[in-house]
Amino acid sequence: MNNTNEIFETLVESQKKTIEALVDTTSKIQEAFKSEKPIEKTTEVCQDWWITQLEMLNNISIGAATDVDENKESSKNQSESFYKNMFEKQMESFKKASSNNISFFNSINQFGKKAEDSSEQYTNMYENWTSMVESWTKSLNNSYEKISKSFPSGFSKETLDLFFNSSNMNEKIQDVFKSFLNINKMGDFSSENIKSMFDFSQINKMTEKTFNDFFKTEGMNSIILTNINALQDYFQNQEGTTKEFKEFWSLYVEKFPQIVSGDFGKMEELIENTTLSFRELFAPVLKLITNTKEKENIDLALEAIDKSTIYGAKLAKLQFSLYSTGQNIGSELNTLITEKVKEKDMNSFQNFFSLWVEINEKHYSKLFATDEFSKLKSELLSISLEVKRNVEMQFENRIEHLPIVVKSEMDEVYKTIHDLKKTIKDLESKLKESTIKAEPTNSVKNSAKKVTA
Amino acid sequence: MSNVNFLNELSSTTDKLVKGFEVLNGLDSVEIAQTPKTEVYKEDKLKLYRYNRDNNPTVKTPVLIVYALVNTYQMLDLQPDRSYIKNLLDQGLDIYIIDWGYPTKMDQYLTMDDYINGYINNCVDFIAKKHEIEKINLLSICQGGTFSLIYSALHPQKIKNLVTHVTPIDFSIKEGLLFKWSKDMDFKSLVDSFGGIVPGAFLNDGFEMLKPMMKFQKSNGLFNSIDDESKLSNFLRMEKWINESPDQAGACFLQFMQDLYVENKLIKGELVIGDGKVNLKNLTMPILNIYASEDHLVPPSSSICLEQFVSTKDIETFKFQGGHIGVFVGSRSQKELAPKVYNFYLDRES
Repeated sequence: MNNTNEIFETLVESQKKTIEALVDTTSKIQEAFKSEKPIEKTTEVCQDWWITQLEMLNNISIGAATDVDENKESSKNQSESFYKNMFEKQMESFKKASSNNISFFNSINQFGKKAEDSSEQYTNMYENWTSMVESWTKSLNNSYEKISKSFPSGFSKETLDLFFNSSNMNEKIQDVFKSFLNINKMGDFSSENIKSMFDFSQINKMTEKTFNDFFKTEGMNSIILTNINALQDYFQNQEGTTKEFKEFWSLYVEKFPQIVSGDFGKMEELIENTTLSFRELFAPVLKLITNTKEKENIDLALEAIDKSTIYGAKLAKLQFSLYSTGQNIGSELNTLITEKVKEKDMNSFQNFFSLWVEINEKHYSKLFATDEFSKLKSELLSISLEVKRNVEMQFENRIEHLPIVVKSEMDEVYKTIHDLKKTIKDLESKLKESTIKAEPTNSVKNSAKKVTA
Repeated sequence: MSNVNFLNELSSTTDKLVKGFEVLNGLDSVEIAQTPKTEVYKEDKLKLYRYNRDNNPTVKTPVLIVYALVNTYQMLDLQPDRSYIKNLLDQGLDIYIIDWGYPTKMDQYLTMDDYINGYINNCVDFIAKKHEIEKINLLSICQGGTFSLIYSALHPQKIKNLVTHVTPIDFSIKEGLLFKWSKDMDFKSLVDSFGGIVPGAFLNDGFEMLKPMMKFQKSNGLFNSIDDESKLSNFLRMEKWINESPDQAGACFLQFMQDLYVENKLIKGELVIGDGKVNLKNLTMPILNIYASEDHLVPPSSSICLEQFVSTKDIETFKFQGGHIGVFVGSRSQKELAPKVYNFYLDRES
């Protein structure tokens, strides 16, 4: 496809030039540092870069802004918002780049004055630079998110979303990778030093992103809260039971604040240390209610809370095993990267990514193959499906009095249809067989004709 | 690593992203299973297709392809330049294929008996009647392979030659997460909780976890090919195929998982389908059993044991270097596997 949008072309071209300028300047700076007159040389290089950047910024600022306005009037292209968004994001990046330039420029001016000052300036410059890279990566992700919205629904859109998600993941990996980049400026590739450069909270975040499904707790939290609310509503509306419910509830919350804390870690502790069952606790109050669908629902609500709590505790265990594995992966990565840096065998982000995938695959496959993980995962699945069934039963009970066919009734109809179809097919098959048997063969037919003749 | 390298990589990344946007925006819809075919039989949601030929087949006995219920047969015909189906057609086979369709709640009570003694048997009878022959050839894949083995053991008089690809036979193996995890799962509860129909998306999530980092490798693969229209189209075809996985009829799924994955009844001779017990010793027809050396879904050890349980002396176990899907879509499979299968049928055509 040829893109005819001038703003887009301008931005892309400018962005490319900016990066090329950065690459070129970094090389020149490195050369300048080695030269006989580092101060003069590097100052010269930085001044050139600074002027180029300013010119580029001014050109984009004037040109692209005009084009956006014209485009807005003349075209109803859905992607326009994307270009504008991208432009804005790029401007932010350019501004970051500009401030980085200043820092860079200052650091070079300081060069040769005092070792500590230079070192500090260099560190500032480096931090600004990595911050710019981070901002730039995020701006790309934001731009892609915007594209996704302007895409028509369909398969390409889904793929773009997939890509966007992977890009987000990539960003997380970049965060870890950035730590690795930082060791360059330290110049000390000891294992301890590298280890300290990794932020373990980032590794945890990556673990969460990697196994996203195991870290979604909103659903179960919501089920617990909904059912607790249902209980409260019911008992508060019932004459004669409000007092008992309130007493039980107060006692419960007082004794087991973990349940309503929403913190699954605390729940795990609770489950392990007690034989708590919400259902058992409320049994005396339930006796006060007559046998109705409402009672059945209250019982189901209590069961849902119990099961959701157990789910939370087991999920916390599983999450803990994933986090632990993630941390082990971080440690192994540290060691391997140290070796690779020493051997100058770490040349690109792609190299890093491959290594990251390889080590993750090894550790997680090992974890997944353990009996404990297999059992825990299976239990989690079963409990979550039981809760799903529980919620569906509550729902059916609530709409039972309405003139609506419910799932269990439809299932009976489907079963009947299936059985009838099978009976018909069997009968058809038997009929076919008996027809074949009853039909005289050709030779029999011929001899019969002869006899008749 | 120098900063220059990193910046260079960053720069090329930008180029890729921008070009990727252009390529994605310019792509037409992605189509799969384009080899021409004609619907010849229909029963409930099942459709039986016959692939169109311009000339007479060189192997006269028709071949019925039985694919798994999980995913669709379209993987065999994913992209025109790497279509296993087209390749087999070009070799000279007369090919029929079962499209199981997409089960709904209505189909939740379909059992293995319905699929094997019902649908497969009716397709076999239809083809045999059309060609006025008593026996036809079977070609089967994965779960479809297990179904075909069971079918052939129950109706050996109707099958001339049997080819199985990446087929699970021994479910007691220690390799493979799918086999391990299945032992701990409560499939009855699972089927009930899903309301009798097990979602294809749920199974796909499970398959994805069997190789924990696969989704990231895939994302990275997409990233590396996003600026190349041809590579991107192929990537999208595979994604389309994965995303169009059918749901599973609960009763059949439950029986397959419980009787085979959990209790390993097939090789024990304890599996009952309909009114009949499945005895693999009834397999007296020639068999070509193909397995993939790097298969993480059906590890080789689950497949290669077949010859221990059958009566036929004409059995060949063929190792293909690759993974579960690579067997069908890899470039090497087009060169090696299709001629291998064709010659197997041709040599036994007399």
